[in-house]
Amino acid sequence: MSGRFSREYGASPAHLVLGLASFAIAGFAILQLSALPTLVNVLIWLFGAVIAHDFILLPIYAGIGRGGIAITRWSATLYPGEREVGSIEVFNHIRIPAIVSGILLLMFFPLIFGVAEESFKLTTGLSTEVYLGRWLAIVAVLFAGSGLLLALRLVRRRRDRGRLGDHADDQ
Amino acid sequence: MEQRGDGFLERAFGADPDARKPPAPDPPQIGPFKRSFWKSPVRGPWLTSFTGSALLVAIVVCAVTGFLSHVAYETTLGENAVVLGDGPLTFLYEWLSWPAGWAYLYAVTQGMHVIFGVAAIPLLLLKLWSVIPKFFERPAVRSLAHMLERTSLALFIGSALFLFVTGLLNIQGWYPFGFSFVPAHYYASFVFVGALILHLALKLPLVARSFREHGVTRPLGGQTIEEDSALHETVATQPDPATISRRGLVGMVGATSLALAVMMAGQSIGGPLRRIALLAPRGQVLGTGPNDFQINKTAAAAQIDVADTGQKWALDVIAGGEQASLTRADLLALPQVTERLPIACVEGWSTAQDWTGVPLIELGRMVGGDAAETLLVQSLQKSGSFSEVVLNRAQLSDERSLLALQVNGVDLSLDHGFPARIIVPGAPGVHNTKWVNRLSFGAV
Repeated sequence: MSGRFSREYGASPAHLVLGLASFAIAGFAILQLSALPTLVNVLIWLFGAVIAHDFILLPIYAGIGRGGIAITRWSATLYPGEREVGSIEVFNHIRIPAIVSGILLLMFFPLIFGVAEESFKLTTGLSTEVYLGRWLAIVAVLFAGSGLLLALRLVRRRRDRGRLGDHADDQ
Repeated sequence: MEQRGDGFLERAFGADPDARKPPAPDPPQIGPFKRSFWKSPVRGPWLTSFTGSALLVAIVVCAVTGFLSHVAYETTLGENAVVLGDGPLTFLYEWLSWPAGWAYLYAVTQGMHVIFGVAAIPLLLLKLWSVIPKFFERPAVRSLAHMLERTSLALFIGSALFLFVTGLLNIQGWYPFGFSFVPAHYYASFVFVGALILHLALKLPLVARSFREHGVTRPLGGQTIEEDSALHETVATQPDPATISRRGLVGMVGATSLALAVMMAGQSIGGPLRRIALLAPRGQVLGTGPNDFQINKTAAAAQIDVADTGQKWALDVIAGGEQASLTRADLLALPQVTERLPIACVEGWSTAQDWTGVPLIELGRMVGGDAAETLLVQSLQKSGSFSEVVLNRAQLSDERSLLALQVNGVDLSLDHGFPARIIVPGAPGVHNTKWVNRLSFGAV
């Protein structure tokens, strides 16, 4: 496939045709939207969303995750005798409910914090005030469930360890 | 970097390894531009392929049901389009007509739109996380073809985030974005679908190879897999020890998506299931009275003057030169029909009730308008969209389409459209106009 076009362009003519067709569809959509006086806001939100996700949201949550792992590893050095201190398994039982709670908050913060209380009330005749409590209840159940699961795992492991002696750790 | 194979798509759209690199400067190998910056051992083609495939299913459902919703709004009739017309696609929507046949049609299609759309968001976040190293790949531009791909990706990710963010804010009733939601969401989906087609043509071979090598679900069984960092930029060259398995990560995100789907289904199916719709915008139960069901728009929001709904209210029914004016007592004296029909909102919630009133077609007969192709319905409503709506032939002629006066055996409440409202099988909620004061058969 290394014809002259392919070397100059980097792929086959079919690639260029499909690419241009895809841009033509986008161009058509933006042309239709240009009848709106607020087109510029649409474009700001379209490209702003990439920046907000790639340069704000993702670095923040990834940073918190790495920070959590670093603290976990560091805490392991404080009590070298205690196997549960500084264990990534224990960390995950905090991290997973935290991530799920965070996703729910990210998605439903307008309801949870009553950002649009006035218009919500006017439209639906209901208040958004129940949502903060509901979200907190979900968070509580997630952490409690995760904690309970961890406790059961640790208890079972201790019991197995007691039965098998220290060999269980070598596996 | 991606190895070439000999499948159809790869032959048609694959990159040429001997391509000339355009004279673009490369970012220095520091920070995220350095490959060793990316440490996660679970990132790689399998995770991206698996998440992407699940996301694709959800997105196809959203795209199809979103298109159907546009058809259901009958945008080519009267002022139904509200904001923007359909431009060169007008012919398509003129040709397609929304049926009145199955009463729950819109409740199901639009319920699915919102259920799948909301459930897709955790998958989208995981998908974007899995490919973030590609954003910083070097060389930034390998060829003109590569430049085109990356430009398309900006539109792809931008429109994807745009669709999910605007949709999510819309169902929560918050509009901070300074543009009209409906046309922006609708046309952004064109940008998205256009970019998706290119993306699929370019990436499906990679997905196929990864599934062939590692199995579609094998890593979910807890088996560890080794991915070659020379094969793809997302695979870490110097990975940290794993802190979570692929199974754990996909399980967490999948469970979150499932829980979201169940919550959204709760507000869509309604009844006792509304109680599990904890975070859904219509996840609250109003009460147990006959008028205690979800309100689409309160009388206060529509700026209804209570005086206009009292003794002086009368319904004008018009067809051609004929005209009749009916008081509420006149309407109640006509033969009444009771039908169980849902209000199905574009925001993805529904509520089915027992409506009692006069079939629209009977009112049409009174003025000789029963053969009309359209019915213009007008309301006392002073503000907001849909103070007037045009119904199509299937809707106006269906025996179950009512001018409802009562619900669940009692008079409609003011918030539910007293003195009279429309209820049509299978139509979007806002086409069930409330506080109706004028019906014009064949006016459009």
